[in-house]
Amino acid sequence: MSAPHEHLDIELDGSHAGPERVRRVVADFLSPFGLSERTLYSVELVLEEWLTNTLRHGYDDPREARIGVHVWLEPDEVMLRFEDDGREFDPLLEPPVAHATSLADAKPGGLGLKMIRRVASRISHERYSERNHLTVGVSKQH
Amino acid sequence: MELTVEDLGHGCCLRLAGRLDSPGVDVVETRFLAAANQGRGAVLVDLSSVSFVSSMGIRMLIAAAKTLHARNLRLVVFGARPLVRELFDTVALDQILPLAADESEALQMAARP
Repeated sequence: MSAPHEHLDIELDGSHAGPERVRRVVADFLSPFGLSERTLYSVELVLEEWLTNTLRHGYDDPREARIGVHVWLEPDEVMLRFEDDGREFDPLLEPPVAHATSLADAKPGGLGLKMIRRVASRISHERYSERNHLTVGVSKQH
Repeated sequence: MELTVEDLGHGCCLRLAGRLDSPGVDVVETRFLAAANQGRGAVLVDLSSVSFVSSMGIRMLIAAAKTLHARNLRLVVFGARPLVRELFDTVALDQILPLAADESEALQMAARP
């Protein structure tokens, strides 16, 4: 039996079903590799949070979005790279959102980036050729 | 994502099933918030059949809790699966919403003055 391909490239369009399609394709791609449920959850979370954030804030009209999603495996991590031509945005420059300590203090925004930071083993961002390039690593956890 | 509303007499239990991600929230949010607001008492939210929660799901829960709080009513979440509960812990959700292990504990939390 040949080894499964360890690299996946998808392009997401701005249609309503785009992120869900990407999620399913990535889940299918990762299924043969025996990853833990915790690792798979973390990967899905990064996909959900980053794609939702990019579509919502990166474009005046999300239907114009074209986002490349690349997934590959390294010995200890699942790697994801996102490339989009939306507004320049470096999540590493966003100040961390403090935990709310009560319902009254809880704010609707900022949770998505917080979650990515929590589950990622590494995050890097570059802007070149008028595109954002975000790379996120997720540890293969037990 | 599916939502079932169960009348408990003194309150209600909203049972969710599926994925509470952006598409899931799109499907249930309006009904969820409406059902929560129609209650006369505490609202319990059953997550035991929810396999995945993202920030959009948490936002929906917090929005419902805030609306109920304005009416001096309580929203209690119970039954979060281990990985969902881990996610809740990473954002200290228990500081914002009561989180119970199961329905029995949720009923006790809801009944507290």
